[in-house]
Amino acid sequence: MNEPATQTGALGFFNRQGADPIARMLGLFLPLATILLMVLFATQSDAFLTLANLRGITLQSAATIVLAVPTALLLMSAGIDLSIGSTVAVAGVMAGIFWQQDLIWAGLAAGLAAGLVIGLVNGSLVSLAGLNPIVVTLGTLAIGRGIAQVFADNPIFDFPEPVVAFGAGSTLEIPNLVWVAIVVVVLGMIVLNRLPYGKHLIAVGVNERAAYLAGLRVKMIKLSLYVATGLGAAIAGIMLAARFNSAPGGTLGVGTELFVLTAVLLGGVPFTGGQGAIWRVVIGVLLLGILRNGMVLLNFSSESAQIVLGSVLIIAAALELVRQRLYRKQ
Amino acid sequence: MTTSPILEVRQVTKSFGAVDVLKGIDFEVIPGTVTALVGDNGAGKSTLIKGLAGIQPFDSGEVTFEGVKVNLNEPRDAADLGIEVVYQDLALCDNLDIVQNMFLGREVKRGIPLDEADMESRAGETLKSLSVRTVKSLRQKVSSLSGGQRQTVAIARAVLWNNKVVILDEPTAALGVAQTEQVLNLVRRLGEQGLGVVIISHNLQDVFEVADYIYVLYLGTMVVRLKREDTNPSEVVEYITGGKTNNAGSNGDLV
Repeated sequence: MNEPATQTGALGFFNRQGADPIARMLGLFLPLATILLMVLFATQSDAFLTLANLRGITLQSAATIVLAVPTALLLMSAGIDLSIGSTVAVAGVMAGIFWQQDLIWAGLAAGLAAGLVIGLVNGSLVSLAGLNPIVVTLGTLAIGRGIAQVFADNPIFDFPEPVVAFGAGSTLEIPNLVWVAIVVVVLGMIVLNRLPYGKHLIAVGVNERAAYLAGLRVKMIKLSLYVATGLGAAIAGIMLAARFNSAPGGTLGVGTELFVLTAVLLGGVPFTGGQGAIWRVVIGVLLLGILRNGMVLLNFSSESAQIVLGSVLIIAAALELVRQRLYRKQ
Repeated sequence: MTTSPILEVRQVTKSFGAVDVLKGIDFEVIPGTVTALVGDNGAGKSTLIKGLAGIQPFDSGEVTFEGVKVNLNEPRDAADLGIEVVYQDLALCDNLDIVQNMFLGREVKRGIPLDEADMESRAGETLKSLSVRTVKSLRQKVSSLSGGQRQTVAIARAVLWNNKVVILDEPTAALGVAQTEQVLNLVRRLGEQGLGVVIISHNLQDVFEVADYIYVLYLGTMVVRLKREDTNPSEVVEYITGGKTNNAGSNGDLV
């Protein structure tokens, strides 16, 4: 038998599933598209390829990555969560309310608790009650936004100094928020590639019945993934509130679901679940971050940026379809 | 064979609404033997298996495993006891490779993380012990395997766990001649390794090739238990179709 350690590679970075040439070529599409986009923007704008700007892109992408990792795991299990944008807002607002009273740790706990509760509600309704995940999380998308706005009746801003310092500061030249994202990415890779749970969630995504018959606790796995996504959204909300030094209930995290789902799909996780890699998802987020940044530098209006983003979602879905068709032809 | 049964089913019933699918079934599995379960469509074979697998618990009756009364309420319960069912559609995860499928739900860990090396070598040994040499790589995705190879993986998965009872639902239904022969050999070898093997099949030729005992279900009732050497296919067909009942002076035990 072959030595499996060499096949798996460090944290599944070189996934053996791309062993056939066409899949491998399509696997290279994402890094290549990213580089191409960077070259394009670099030639169009002098400001793009500056250290400050690239740093800005990673900083902007940090919260999205924190949210994209659990969302990707959820999608790999064939689940979906549309409510993440509102969860970001509720968590940011809850944290902000306490922070305004100088209660730093209570704010952190309240934000995380909000994400936990929303994740539990989504997860119970989908996995225990058996409701359709799109319907449930579309509902909680609206509910969450409403709750965030009720609690943010008075503007929430001006947080204690340590919070602002964390949101704006750096450690070892790397922004603190990027550190958080790095930790979440490493955790995501370990969970997916190194723990039984990672195989289990893929199994649920491929063939739920087979997973159940193999003795897996399918309902618990699904529930836990919704909770993880809720917590990821909460951490993202807390990060954003700290960075902006404010928590606007009406606008915080609006449209995040579109952005994150596009990034995850671009990152090669099909909505039908059953496969995917964390590092691709990270590149997917960075690609979208670069696109958004470049459009700002090239003076795209926010309306046309919106149109581009929506188109990318559809293109990503089309690419995924082509990839699957080619794969099946083998 | 004088060994006591490892799995004993006493007077189990199951109804769906007004329909009594199992009307008090007795059934037993002796370790080291192959027991065939035959009967026409709707006789209750699948319902009996689903009960033993924990997918659809029985309404009443008793199941004893190694002499102890057990409750089978979900697949996990059956798996914990060492009862493994190989389903007709095999219930494999196409996107996972052979090793991952064989260890799904019972992964080997090295501390907290997975021990891929150990799982791979154990999967290889198990396949070898079943004289399976047709798969190229253990890291092949299951979707790339042929029907017979998939069947082999599903059966190997059942053996890997030192399961005590392996139930195979129509294992040869989708296979060609050569592959059928391979799988039947595999079934026989499971029995020789001391497992209690149950095989459900419509194909009496297969049944007579591997089974030591043949149980016949007819409309929710266990009509007869026959020893293979004491019977012949035409007698079994008569029982299956209801043309012959126990009172007609059979070679089988009254059950």
